[in-house]
Amino acid sequence: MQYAPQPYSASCDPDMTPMIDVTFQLIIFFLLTLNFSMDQQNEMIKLPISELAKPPEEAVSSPITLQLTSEGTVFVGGDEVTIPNLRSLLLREKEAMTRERRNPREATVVIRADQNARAGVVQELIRACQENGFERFALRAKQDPNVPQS
Amino acid sequence: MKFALASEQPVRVSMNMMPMIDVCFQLIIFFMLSLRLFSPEGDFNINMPMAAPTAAVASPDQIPIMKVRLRARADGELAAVQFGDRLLGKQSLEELHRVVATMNAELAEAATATQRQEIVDRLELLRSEVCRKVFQPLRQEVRKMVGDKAGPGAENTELELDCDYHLKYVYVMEAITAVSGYREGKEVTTLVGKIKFTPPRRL
Repeated sequence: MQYAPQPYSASCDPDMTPMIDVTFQLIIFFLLTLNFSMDQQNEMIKLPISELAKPPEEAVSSPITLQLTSEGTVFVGGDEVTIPNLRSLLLREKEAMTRERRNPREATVVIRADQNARAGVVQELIRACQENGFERFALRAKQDPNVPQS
Repeated sequence: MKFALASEQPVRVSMNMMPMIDVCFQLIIFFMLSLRLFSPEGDFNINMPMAAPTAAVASPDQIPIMKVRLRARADGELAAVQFGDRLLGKQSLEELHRVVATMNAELAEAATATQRQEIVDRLELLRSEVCRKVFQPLRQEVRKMVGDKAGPGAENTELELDCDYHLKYVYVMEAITAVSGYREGKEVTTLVGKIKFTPPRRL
């Protein structure tokens, strides 16, 4: 039995709808998993784990994030600073706050220190902040993945 | 003026999907590349004014400030936990030092960076488990001091942490976790509301 050769059809129009559906699903998935607080993260820092750490219910008011690496260098907003430089930076921050009529006491200094950082360096950071009138600190820890969360 | 009559057969208008699909793929690729999965993080709040107003009016029902001293070995590992003037968790500390010793020995033998990473990951888990055991007696002591009247009153209890300069921060965090509260299932009970640090000890 012989088939007649199919005539070559020039216009082939596949149904695009399922593909577009899947594509949109993917877009929505990646959009929702997008981490918006990415500027607060630093790949170099391995936070210590704590079973009691849980994300704060409300956002911290005007946070200043200090990142402390295991080598003892401090990062503020992507720039590497030494502790004496940090003092002048904090002073500028404080002046900016006073200009806006806010008390530095209300600001929170978030300290993200590496688990192998020295305790004394963390204390020195706190000291430097205290000298500029900051008194609220938040030591950041990673949530323990093994404990049940409410 | 006359309009041409619409043809009787309906004309199938197919939209050109190509630009839309292109844009969609661009978006997918953008979101895919910016995808980084982080485990959630939490904070421990510490309120430390410059001049600590200690020795204020001590009301009779107020618990005196508890003092916790963490001593470090030369390599930054935890050497001793002291609550007031009592040493705590000696046996578990020996276990901790054994874990650290195995970690260092295995790290010395590791050849590649991936091997090192694997060893570090495995033994850090073990270390945090032992650490929890080390700080368990401290938590018991604090619970005894607070009288376990956990809840609203607990926010006013104060504790002072005194750490050696080169102690690794991970132990500080474990100590803070141990004293600030405990977890029973999903319930977290606060023990100490105010944690403070002493001024840094110079080397």
